[in-house]
Amino acid sequence: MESQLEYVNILKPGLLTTVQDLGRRDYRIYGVSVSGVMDALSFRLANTLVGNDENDAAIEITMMGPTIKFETKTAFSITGGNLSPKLNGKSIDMWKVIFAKAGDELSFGKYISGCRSYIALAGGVNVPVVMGSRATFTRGHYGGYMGRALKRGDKLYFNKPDFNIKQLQGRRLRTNDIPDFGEERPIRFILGPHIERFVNKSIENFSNGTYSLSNASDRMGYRLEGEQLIHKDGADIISDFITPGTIQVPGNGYPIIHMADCGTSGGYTKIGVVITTDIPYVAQKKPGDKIKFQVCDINEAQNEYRKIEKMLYDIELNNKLLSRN
Amino acid sequence: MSIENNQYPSYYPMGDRAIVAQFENFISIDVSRKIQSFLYMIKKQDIKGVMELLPAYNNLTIVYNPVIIKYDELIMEFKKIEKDISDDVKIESKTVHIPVAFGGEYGLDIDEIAERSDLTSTEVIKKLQSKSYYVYMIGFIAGYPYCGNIDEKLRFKRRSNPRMSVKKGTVQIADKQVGIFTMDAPSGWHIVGWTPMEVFNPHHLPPGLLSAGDYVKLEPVSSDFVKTWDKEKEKEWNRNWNM
Repeated sequence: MESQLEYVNILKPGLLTTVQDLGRRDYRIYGVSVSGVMDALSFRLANTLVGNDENDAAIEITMMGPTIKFETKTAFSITGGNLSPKLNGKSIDMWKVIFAKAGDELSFGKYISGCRSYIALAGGVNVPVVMGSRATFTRGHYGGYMGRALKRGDKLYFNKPDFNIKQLQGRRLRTNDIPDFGEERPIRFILGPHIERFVNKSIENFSNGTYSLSNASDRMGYRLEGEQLIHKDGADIISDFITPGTIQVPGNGYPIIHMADCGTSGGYTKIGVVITTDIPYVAQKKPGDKIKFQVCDINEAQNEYRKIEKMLYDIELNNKLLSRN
Repeated sequence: MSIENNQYPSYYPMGDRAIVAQFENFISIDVSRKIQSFLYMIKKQDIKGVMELLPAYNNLTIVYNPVIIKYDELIMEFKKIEKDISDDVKIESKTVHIPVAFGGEYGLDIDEIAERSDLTSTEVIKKLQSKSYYVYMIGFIAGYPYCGNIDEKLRFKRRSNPRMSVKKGTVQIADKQVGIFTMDAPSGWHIVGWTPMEVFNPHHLPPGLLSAGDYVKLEPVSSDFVKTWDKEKEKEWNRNWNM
């Protein structure tokens, strides 16, 4: 019987290359980090382009991309930050379907915009499900490919798609639907819940402030440098739940934006939460980059959320037209 | 028993996909039971768009899908049922006994706690093992049980300078709380002991040994005991203590 599994070979691992999906959403009740992709928008678009379910596992790469050899022909897409992708040494376009044949090599160059790209393979990466997800959680050594970032010599298997990949010929995203990670745009957030715990001046300073991303930033949290915020009466709260996007301010007065691998709860004051549609733009920032904040109200945030979901829904409709085995 | 005043819960947004229903702002088992009661009521109501119900010490975080239901609409749903919140709820709960090596290399901060509380280290350890602790919530990174309440004399604020990495199995205290680390992570709590028992395993369902509403009892064991801990000893321990 023909094997249902195909694979790619990792020739060079890059800086931080992991298998991810949309994360462990129903396990926070057990205190389990959601984890999963940093930039869900680019990830979902990458999967949709190649006919996958939007939650199929794909590869997240960071700043310095890997070199990957295809062992069988397949279709793939690259989305997210522009890390200069090349196929057999020749530049290739992002946000479209690309066909590879056995022996082709995918590599990356310098980063032009953003810092994370997604490589979706038609059929989706095949790794075991741990607590409802295929996402790698490196801190816990579980999920994804053996609970770790990919290394040289790893063979990463993917599922054979249940449709003929020729149907993906010519697929690309409309320019309007492609997020621009090079553009300067403010990061919007909803104030609270603990604004009354800060002196007024600090709320004002933060709300219109510009911060830069420190070197001590990772998939768990982004530490910010800039105006120090002053608490009225300490930074401790009785621990409660946090979500990715939460901006926590510990005793030293420097904000931390919680990202995909963040814990589920914390014990420091929260000055605000980045709105869902802007998290991908935060995720594409790298140490040294500036973040300019802007206050947003909940109605505007939820309207933006609905707009993006509608756009993704419309794009996903194309996959209903594929004829599947 | 219903609540007399209607001050609680109050609601606020936690970003655009979560609402926090806030109860009295202190740590108490009565407040925790009210939160459990509200959680149960919302579950029964089966409100469209509600995705996760996450109980903490004194609030309940409700994660929802804003495509299906918006912030204001969801609060209206909660207001319909909040008058029936009660602290008189039956929660299925168990007591889990956990072996702990206190002090020495396993409890780096015991001596400091002793000094600050004007007790000997032995007295601190005695106080820590003297009662069962209620599990208020499970959180942090992976199945971290937030338990309490510890003896009044042992309550201190978190360290101002958190440790960058604390070992899995570490038993630590802060304010009224005691918890057990389920994986290596940064921490600002005071370290009092260490357990070899696996409180969290991502490949089990549910992945954690403890749930909100359970009780945990810390049983002192020697450092030799924890050094020779293995699967067999764990089985034996659970046969003797946790059956």
